[in-house]
Amino acid sequence: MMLEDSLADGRLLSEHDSVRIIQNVIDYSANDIVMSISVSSWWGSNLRWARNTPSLTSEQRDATVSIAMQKGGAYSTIVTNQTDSVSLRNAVQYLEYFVSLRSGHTPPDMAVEQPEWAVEGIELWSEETFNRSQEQDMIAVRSLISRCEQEGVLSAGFIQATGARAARYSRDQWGREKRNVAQATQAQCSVTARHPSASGSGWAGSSAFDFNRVDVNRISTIALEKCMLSFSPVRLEPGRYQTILEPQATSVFASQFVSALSRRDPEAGRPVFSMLGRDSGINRVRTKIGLPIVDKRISIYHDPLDPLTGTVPTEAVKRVNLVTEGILTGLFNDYGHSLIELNSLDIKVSRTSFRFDGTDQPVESMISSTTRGLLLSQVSNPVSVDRGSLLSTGLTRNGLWLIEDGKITRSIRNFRWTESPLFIFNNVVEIGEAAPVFAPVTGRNPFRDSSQNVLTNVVVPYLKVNDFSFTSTTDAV
Amino acid sequence: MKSTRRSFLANSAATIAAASFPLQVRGSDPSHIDLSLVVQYIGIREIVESAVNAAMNAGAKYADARFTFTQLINGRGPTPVRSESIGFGVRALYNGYWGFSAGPVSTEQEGDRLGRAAVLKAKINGNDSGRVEFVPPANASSGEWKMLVKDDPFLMSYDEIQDFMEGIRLYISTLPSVEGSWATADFVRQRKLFVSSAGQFTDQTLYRTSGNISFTVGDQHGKRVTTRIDSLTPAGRGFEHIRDQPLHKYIDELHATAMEDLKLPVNPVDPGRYNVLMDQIGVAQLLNGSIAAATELDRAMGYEANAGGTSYISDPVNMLGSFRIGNENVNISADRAAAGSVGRVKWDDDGVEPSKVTLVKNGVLVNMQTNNEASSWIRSYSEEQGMVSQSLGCSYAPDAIDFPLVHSADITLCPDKLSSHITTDSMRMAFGDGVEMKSPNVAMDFQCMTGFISTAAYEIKGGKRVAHLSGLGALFRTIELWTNLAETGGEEMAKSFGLSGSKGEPTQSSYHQVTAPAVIFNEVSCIDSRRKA
Repeated sequence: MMLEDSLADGRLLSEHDSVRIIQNVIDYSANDIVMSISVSSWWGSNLRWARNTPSLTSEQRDATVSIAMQKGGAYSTIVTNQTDSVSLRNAVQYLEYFVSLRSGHTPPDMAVEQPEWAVEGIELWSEETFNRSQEQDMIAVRSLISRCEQEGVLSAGFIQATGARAARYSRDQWGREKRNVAQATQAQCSVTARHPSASGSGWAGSSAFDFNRVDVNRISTIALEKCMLSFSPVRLEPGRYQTILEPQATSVFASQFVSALSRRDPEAGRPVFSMLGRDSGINRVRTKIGLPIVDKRISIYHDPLDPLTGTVPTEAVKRVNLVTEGILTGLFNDYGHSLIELNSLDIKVSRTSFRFDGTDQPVESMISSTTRGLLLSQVSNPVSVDRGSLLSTGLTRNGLWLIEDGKITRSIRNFRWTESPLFIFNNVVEIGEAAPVFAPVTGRNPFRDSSQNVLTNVVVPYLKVNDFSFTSTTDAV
Repeated sequence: MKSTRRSFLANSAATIAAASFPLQVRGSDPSHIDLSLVVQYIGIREIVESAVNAAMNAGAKYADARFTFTQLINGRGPTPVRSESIGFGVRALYNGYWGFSAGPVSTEQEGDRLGRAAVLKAKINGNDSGRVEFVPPANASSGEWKMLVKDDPFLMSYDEIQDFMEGIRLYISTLPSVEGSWATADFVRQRKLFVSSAGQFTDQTLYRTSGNISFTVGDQHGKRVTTRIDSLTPAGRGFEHIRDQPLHKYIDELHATAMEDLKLPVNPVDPGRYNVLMDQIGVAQLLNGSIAAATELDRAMGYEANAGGTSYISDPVNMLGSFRIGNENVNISADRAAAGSVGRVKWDDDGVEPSKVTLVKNGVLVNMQTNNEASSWIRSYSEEQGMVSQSLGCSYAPDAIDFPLVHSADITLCPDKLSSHITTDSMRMAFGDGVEMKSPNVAMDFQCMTGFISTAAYEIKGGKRVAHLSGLGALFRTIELWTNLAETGGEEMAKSFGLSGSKGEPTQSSYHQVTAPAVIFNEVSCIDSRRKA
């Protein structure tokens, strides 16, 4: 099968063609081999602009066929974007050569019987997003540019719509087969507005599976307002400040926290969520499940059926309550760890999408109840400095303001911060409204790398916290 | 009849049969076969040309097209992960705006579609006159060029590579107190064809090889030291980049140092300003973050403001020739022609043959890194200086599916030719008291203006390492750092490292070589990185 024939709708491989490619690979392979095949294709159209002028309008598309084989402990993978019979036959023969040659040289993996449960998820495909015209986006961009020119501000930004479709197949050591097909769209828009003298900068962005949820005009307005409000910042002494984190800032710390919620690490004795003593039933280091770890108003969970943070139904995934009213109630637990290490079917596949529950308290009220503190728009460039306590350091970016007596009074020069989500989530003063944040998949193909990164959708709230640690200033704007 | 890939595939049954059954027919290790027949390049040049013609027929003022065939081997043990991809992209300039269209299909029909689509995309930008002034390189050369490598990993049996790496790992495991070891290798080969409407055709093959050989030693108190050979960062070489290095000597040296480290006490950091001896890879990281990215002209002009950020060089035209980045001893050059360098090309992605330039001369900024389009933005400065306004050859796209952007060339901090120091050890002995930083990580801000260093560090007294400093970090301002450059090591101690950079939306990554000797900086602000306010 030729790729040009398969790209029938001009952008993505059809479901029918994806399945046919998989069947071809199966037909070329030995019957007794353990294997998995993934056929995915993606398409993206982009608008990019800078210095108040469009700089590029583009369209890209690609396909990926990933084949993995396993035999007698040997395992090998090959990835290609060509789907003709010659390429696929060569790929299969290459893999069979490798796994046969090495089979038996390493101990075979323990048999992994995958559990049967319903594949849950929601439809994350928007036909309107897939067919959106770039002319329409350019009108919005031109409107933004015009407003920025009137204000004497330089804007730069990016608008992208992508679509991706994947078909998967796997065959285990008992010859049992599994197949599924999934598709998703993703829309994103982000805008940076900067003062030409580099003395003020504002940013806003949004991403979702449906372009109707991405309001380009609103994003533009926020970026422009933040730029104007952050103009000519003054220097403030570093120190600990009561700080209101906007959702985009909260999301960085919440994502650090969620990514550490793996059962494998604490049970191997690695810190953060491990504790003294061993669990006698499974002879593993005890975890902190069931213990309070953060403020009791905090609940964080992954729900594949949540319309804002849900999952494309590509594999078995179920809801995981990670933190419930401050208590650690769940740790992600992959197939291998669950079945081989624990002899358990309590599998919770790790996801980067999650919801951190908010309240109905508006940010205006959080500001008005602040005697002296800071409003933090965005954090940038985080670097881990102590994995054991999740401590990291980074910078504030695109807007930091001083709040005095319930009002925003000054724009502040950027700070370097040194903080841990464990400290932040234990020093919460108020939790505000939750909102989806800008968290697009950054790779070209949302289905290319692994099922865990199909889409990243995060909903987190405004947080007002005590004693947020700002350790030094930076002149960068 | 002109041969195309489609007709080739349809008609050459015998060839297909041979390539389809490489094991049976050739009876050889298939680890070096190309998966796809398209790499035989039957009619590919004509297909790429047809894409450019389609764009020009659709009204483009200028168009170019790239075809890439990229192969990767990730050697992570006995069975590698292997990948191959084909990319085909067309860039068209219409009314001063760029349009771009790309995909994985390489047929004449697809070339025609991509060419027309690129122009349609460019037209979306508007009817006013655009911003792009693009003059194709004058007297641009055409031809074929292949990076010179001794051992092409894609023509070798993977078993040979694996045996070598496993031998290294086994050697390490025989050394005392070793608790874990790693020996892996990654290879990339890319063939890139370029055709432009100015009549240029280039065909070049590039290589990138890197390795990771590292190990951990530990003592009975639970103290551990992990160390790695730092000369295996990506290079524009074949497998010889790994095999031809004196690895056993490096491993023995690193092991001896690590065992000495285990005996050193661990002291807390006393925050303050210290003179710092920085090893070569540390200086390279500093150059990468504070100079390489900052001098990419598109970034400085604000074209990356919504992505990686901007630059402290906020007004390049007025800062060039007068802006002081460091003291008199700071001399930095950019180049893409050094043999073995990972950024090496014969032609960049605008079809320009790169030239070596000085970016910083005696501490003063004198040039920026440009592609063909960006070079026009500083034309007034170039003409003032009596220089020909031309691209420095920094246009790069990782794959034909990506739009070319300005990416950093290979960067070199010129060594002090008069320095008597030819090793880091001799610099340390002459150093006196202070801090030595080893293999640090550098994180810059979004304007390349300030940075944070996290690093393994030693306390130095009387020219000797006397203790580890636990959790030491450092903060710096770019200009202050390079102004406080106190001593630069000699030519013999300069080392090259393949480092990466990323930019753009969608994000694209590139590699370039950064070469530096060890240096001494005065008055670096050292902190306990784990201490909060």
